[in-house]
Amino acid sequence: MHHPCDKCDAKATCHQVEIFDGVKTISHLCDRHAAEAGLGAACLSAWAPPGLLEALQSASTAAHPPAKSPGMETSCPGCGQTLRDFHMQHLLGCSECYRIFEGALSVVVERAQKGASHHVGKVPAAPAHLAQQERADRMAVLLRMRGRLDQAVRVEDYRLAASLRDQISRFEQGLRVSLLHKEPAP
Amino acid sequence: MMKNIPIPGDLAGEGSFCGTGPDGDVVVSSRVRLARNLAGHLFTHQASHAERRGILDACRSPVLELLGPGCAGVRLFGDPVWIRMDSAAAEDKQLLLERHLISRGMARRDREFPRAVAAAADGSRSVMVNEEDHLRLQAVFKGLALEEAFAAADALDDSLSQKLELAFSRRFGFLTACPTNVGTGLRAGVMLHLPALAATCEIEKVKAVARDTGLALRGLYGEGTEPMGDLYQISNQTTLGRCEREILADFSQGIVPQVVRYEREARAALAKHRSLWLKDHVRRAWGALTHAHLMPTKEALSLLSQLRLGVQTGMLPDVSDARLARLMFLAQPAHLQKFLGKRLAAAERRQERAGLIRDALAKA
Repeated sequence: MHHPCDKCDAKATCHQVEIFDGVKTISHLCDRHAAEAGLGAACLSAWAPPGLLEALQSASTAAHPPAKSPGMETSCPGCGQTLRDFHMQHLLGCSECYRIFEGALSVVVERAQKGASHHVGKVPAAPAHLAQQERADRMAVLLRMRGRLDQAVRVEDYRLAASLRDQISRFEQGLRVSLLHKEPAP
Repeated sequence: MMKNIPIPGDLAGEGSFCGTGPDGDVVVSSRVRLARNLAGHLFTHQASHAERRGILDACRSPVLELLGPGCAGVRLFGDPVWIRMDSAAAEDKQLLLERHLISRGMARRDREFPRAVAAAADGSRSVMVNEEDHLRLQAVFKGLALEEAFAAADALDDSLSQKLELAFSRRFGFLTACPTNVGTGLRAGVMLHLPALAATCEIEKVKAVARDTGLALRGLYGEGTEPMGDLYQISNQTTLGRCEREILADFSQGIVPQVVRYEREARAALAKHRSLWLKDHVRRAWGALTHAHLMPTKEALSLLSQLRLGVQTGMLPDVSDARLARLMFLAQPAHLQKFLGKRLAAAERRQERAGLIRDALAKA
C-alpha cells in the first residue's frame, strides 16, 4: 500500500517512526518534505553502519524470493515494527522480529558480526521444562496479544483494551500454572 | 546537598573501583556484560510505559535476590541497592556513570522512563533494567581478572534464567534489541592505563593490534568517548558465532598480555633512554598538582596519570600508586561531590578538586 505524503498529495517515500515515552508516531513524507525535515536516504546513510541500507534493501528484494521474504513495509505481528522501522532506528521491536525478518536480518547480522550467522555458546537454562517450540509458540501468542492491546489503547478502544488485558492476564496465569506443573520432582 | 542514595562500592577506602589488582600497574579493571531480554515482552524502546514499568517490577525482586548475601555462588556482604533512574538526581546518575554502573544513555534519558540499576553492596556485580535491552548483567573486578568477571556474570545469568524466561533462539542465540549484541550478548572489556604508550605515540599501534584481533580501543567511558588520564578500554566488537570462552581468549591469550608488555617496555625505555624528559614531565605534574588552586577534571586526570608514570618508573618511591589510582576516581565531578558531601558548581569543583589533591599529595 502506498502512503500519500502527510504534507502534500505526492507519494511518500520516507517513513519515519518516532517513539517518545512509549508512544509511537509514524510520519510519511515525500522526497521534498523529507529533505526539508532533514530526513531521507542521504540523511540516513550518514549515520547508518556502512552497507546496512544496501544490505537491508537487497535482502528484502533480490536476495530472497518475494513470497518468503517480507518487504520493507511488512510488519511484525508481535510488535508492529517493519523492516523500514529497523532501518531507521537500528533496533528490533521484539524477539518475534528475528523470526519474521529472518531472511533480511541474516544479511544484516552477518555484516555486523563479521560473517557469523549462527549462535555458538551458552544456551539458557530454561526456568520451566516446556519444549522449546511450545515455549516459543506461547510467547509469540503473548506478544501478539500485547501488540493488539497497544493498538487498542492507541485508537482509544477501551472496551477492547479491557478485554485484551483480561485475556493477557488469564494467558499469563495459564502459562505460570503450566510451568509449575512441568517442574520436575525434587 | 546531593540526595543521599546508597552508592555501592567503597568510596572512602580503596574498594573495587579505586585500588589495584593483578597487573594493576597497567590494567585498572576487567568487565563482563551480558545483554538479555525477557521472553514475551516487547524490547524496551518499543514497549509502552506500562509494560516497561511491568518489566521493572517483574525484575526487581529476582535481581535483588541474586545480588544479596550468599547468592549466585559467592559470598557477597551487605544488602544490594536498587536505584530508580526516574527519581535519581543528575549528580547521582553521573556518579553511577563514573563507576561504569550505568550507561551514558541511561544517565541521560528522561525522568519519565522507568529504568533502574541494581548493584551488590561492593559494586562488583550489577544489573541494569530497561536499558536498550531489558537486562544488562555486569561484573567488574580490579586488575586483570576477566575470567573471574565472566564467572561472576555467568553465575548471575544462570540464576536469573532459573527465575525469568529469557528471549532465545537456536539460530541467533540470546535475542537483543540491536543485532550487534545478538548471540552470546557478551561484551568483555579491560580498562588500561597506558601513559608510556601515549607519551611515545604508540597508541596507534595498540589500536591496529586491537582492530586486527576484532577488538576496539575506546575512551574512558566507552564507545564515542575520548581517552582521559591515559585510560583506554579494549572491548570485543562481535558477539555471534564464537562461544564465550573463545571471545575471552582474544583478551587473555592475545591482546591484553601483549599490551601490558608493550606498556612496561615503554616505561622502562623512557626511564633508561629519556630519563631527563621523564623527570621533567613527572616533576612538572607534581608541581602543578601540589600548587594549583583551580583544577579541571581533564587536567587533573592527565597530571595524575603522569604522576603514576613517575611512581611506576621508580621516580617517586614514597608515593603510593593505589592512592593515586584512587585520586583519579575522586577527581571526577560526581565522585568529588559525593566525597565532599555537597553539591558544587563547575567553578567550585575546580577549586575543591585542587584542594583535595593538594591535601592528598601532602600526605603522600
